[in-house]
Amino acid sequence: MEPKNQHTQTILAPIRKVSKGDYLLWGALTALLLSGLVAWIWQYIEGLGITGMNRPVYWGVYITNFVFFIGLAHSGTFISAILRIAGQSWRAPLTRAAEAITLFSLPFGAGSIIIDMGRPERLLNLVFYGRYQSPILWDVTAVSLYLLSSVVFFYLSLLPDIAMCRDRLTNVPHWQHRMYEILALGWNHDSEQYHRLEKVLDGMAVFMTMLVVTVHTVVSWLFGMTVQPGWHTALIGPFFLLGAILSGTAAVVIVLALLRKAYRLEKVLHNGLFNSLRKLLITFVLGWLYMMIAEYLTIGYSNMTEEMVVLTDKFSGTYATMFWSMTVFVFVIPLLIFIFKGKNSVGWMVFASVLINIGMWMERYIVIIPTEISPRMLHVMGQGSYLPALPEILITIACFAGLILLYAVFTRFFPIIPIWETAEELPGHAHSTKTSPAPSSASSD
Amino acid sequence: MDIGALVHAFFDNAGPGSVLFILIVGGACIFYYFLTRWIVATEKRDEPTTPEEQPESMDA
Amino acid sequence: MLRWGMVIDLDKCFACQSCTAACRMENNTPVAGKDQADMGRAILWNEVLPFVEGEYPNVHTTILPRPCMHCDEPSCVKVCPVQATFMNEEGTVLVNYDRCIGCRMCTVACPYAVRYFNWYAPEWPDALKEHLNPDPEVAPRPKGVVEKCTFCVQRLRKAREEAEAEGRTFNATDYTPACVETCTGRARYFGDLNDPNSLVSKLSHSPRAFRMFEELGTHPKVYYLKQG
Ligand code: SF4
Ligand code: SF4
Repeated sequence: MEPKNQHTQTILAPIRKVSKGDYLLWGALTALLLSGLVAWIWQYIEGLGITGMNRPVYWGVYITNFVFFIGLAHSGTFISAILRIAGQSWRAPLTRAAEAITLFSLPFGAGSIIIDMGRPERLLNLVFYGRYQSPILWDVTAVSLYLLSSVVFFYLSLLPDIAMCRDRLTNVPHWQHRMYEILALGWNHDSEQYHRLEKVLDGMAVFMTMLVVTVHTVVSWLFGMTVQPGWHTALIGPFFLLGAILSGTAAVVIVLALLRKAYRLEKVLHNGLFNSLRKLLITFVLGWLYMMIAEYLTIGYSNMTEEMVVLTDKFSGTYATMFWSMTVFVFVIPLLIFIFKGKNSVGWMVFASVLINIGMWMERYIVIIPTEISPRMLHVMGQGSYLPALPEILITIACFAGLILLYAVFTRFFPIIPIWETAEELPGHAHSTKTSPAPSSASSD
Repeated sequence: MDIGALVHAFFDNAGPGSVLFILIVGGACIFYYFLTRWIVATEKRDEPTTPEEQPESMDA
Repeated sequence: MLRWGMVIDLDKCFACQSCTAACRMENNTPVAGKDQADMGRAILWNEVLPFVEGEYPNVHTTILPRPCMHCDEPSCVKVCPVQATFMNEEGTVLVNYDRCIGCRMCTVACPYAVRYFNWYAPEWPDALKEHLNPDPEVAPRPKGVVEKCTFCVQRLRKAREEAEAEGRTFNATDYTPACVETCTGRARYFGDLNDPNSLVSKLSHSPRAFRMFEELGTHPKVYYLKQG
């Protein structure tokens, strides 16, 4: 027996047809993705010289993207794993939408590292000659495990819904139906299956939570483990983690609003969800401010020479404009919006979330570049400079396009709202605690 | 046996790190494979249509 | 055990740059060209850096020749994921160009900014190409890998081979890097730091001796003798 969900029709509706608009969107995104690919091939043939990187700025936009996309990926795990453990049942309708961000942005995060490598064809040296003292190996382990686990976590919670697609969508093209058949692994909505699935997802949620913390901390340790001014701080781990969850949660808001619009899911993705996210976002934005103050006050107050060079560069030097606009984008405007405008207003929420994500990308950039611009040898070497070049810009755009493309295609073939998790009734088991089925009233403020 | 030297050798040399990496990721692959099989594989019991479940009430 | 180190007397250095030139010829570092050099892409295993303090008329200039410091606790070796950069038994930090994956973690980790990345495949004008050092150990590095000062390890190998051919035991004084040999002001000394009687070891204990960024705990094996 299938799970009973009054919205099943609404949720499955987008899967039935691929419209002209879809093809247009997919085509445009593919074109962007291909232009990035061409840029990468060009870079592979010519060498990294065609980027803006130089000495001492050995790491540029690619590493910024790496940190940013891994951060974005934390949305899904946060919403579905951490809130699952915390027993926040309102999260149910948006788990999959959030996890899909994780799944589709992780490859671009990991890919950015490969794009950044001078000899990508030697990637396997990491497997042959891995040396565990290097933070890169920590990263490789953590990110691969995270990617693998997210795929499994995502797939498992998708299983019952694939089975529903298989059973209900009988008039889709043959290959598509075949795909459902294979991917459903013979799921037959048995109560025992649901029982086990719940158990495993609960267990995995704990593990995923640990992974999230590990992954982003380890990412930050690429920088934190060096002795460079501005990077060598114990706070860099928690700071990166909090930023990751902030940008990830903001991304969820954007995605939800888009899905709602594009696929007419207003009934399922009701305003209450946005209001709950709003409260989370307020907390994270304030947390981010706290980290900022803790970090910069410690550095500024103690007034150590090399650290101050980097700090003044951010506060009033080359990166001042970027630094202060980042503060405005991540903190000032979003907080004002969330407090005064955001309630029940999806438009404002999206606006603030977009700002947060732009700001967070800038934050990553500002953590990475100014430290490199002002190395310890500054007094003898002079200040470095860095501006991203065309291939870097193309590849960055391609990464974003790729993320959106994967997302758009996925939502046309699979239900983006978990039908079984939002169902009023599951076969065999008491499930009602997990859901808040009433679309309009539940879980608003 | 000198544990310190062993730990040092592990972190310092090229190779042992790969082994650990492969063990972790490979182990996870195998674990997830069996986990998935365990979830999906229910012994072919008769039609699961009969509602053996209590009609649970919704707390709306 | 030998532990190679260098002492540079800043009193004697007058910034003639012959060490930089000698290093280029010895180690086949490519010619970057003006545009690339302006971008900070020039590869100079040895650089002579001016360090200007104060403003006219009260200027104080220090000239600082800077090879790789061959740290005893090198930040670069620590972070290399594939052991492409490593320290050999005699304390010299080297790069395995065939293994380096070009991740540039070492370049951002080295506090002395002495590591260089091959942004493009190396190039020379034809006239220079004929004069490349034929030693296979300094064969031009491919694009996409990191390189840096090696204390001219190829010269050490040659010195050992020579000693063997002549049937005598190898002596630490047989080996000098190109920059030390060339130095016009005789400002550079090279030798075994572990031998308490060697010149470098004595100079490194001079009251004028200092090392760069000693507070970082990298323990460089390049010592400077203070000016004045
Ligand atoms: S100076 Fe830099 S490259 Fe040379 S050994 Fe020290 S950390 Fe490594
Ligand atoms: S760039 Fe090469 S030498 Fe440097 S850390 Fe990466 S692999 Fe090692």
